[in-house]
Amino acid sequence: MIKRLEIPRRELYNIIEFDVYNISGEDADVIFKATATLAKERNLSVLEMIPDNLKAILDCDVLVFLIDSSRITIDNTDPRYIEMLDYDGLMANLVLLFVLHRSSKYGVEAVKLPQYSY
Amino acid sequence: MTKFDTVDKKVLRALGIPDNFDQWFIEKSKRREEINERLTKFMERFYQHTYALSTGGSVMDVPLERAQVFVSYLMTDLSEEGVPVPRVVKASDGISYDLVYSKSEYIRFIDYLGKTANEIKKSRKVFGKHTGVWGLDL
Repeated sequence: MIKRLEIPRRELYNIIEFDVYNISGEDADVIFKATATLAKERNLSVLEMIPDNLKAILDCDVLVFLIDSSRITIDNTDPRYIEMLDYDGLMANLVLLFVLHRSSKYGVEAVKLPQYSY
Repeated sequence: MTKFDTVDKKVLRALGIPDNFDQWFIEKSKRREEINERLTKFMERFYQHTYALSTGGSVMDVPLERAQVFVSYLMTDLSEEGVPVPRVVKASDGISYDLVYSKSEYIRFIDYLGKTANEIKKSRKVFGKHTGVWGLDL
């Protein structure tokens, strides 16, 4: 007699279930800059005013920063060179925002955010 | 690092990455010291601020530089009209075709994600609308 084995997929593999958010760096930067302006007007800390949806992303257990290699150029007379430097500033600000938010959450004193511009 | 196939060959050579980097990534993907070393150089040259923060930053005394770096690419060839089109090669089964893309890096990334997920024992709810995803911990 052949007995069919019913093994739940979850037992067959070590499956992990997780949630994913996807946000473009440019969008995160726009939200962050608008928040910073508002915080300045109200004389509050920018970290206290980060919107909940951006906070949810910064609170994720795993953060993946996608860095676009196609922006690379070695010709410093090409307008794309400035764009590459701006992009570097944008990504740096996102990393910094993450560190400051987490530090603030864990009770470490946050420092003033430096802004990169060229 | 995304769209690695668009990086100028001159840049790759200066960093010590061969022109046929897809094979190089496959060969080096398990022991990642060489990949990490070359990509660190890449960041130092072109994305200095991001690199500085990711090496100088830390959260709860855990330095961000412990994070692993992976690349994604899709190899292309020029069509007769001079337009880049995805490169297609014969698959190992000899009867079908494959795209030449960063498969080995994706596998390493999923492996790394699985290991990280294993270290996070506590499940928790998150804010707002989200998409549930199933993954395999390899």
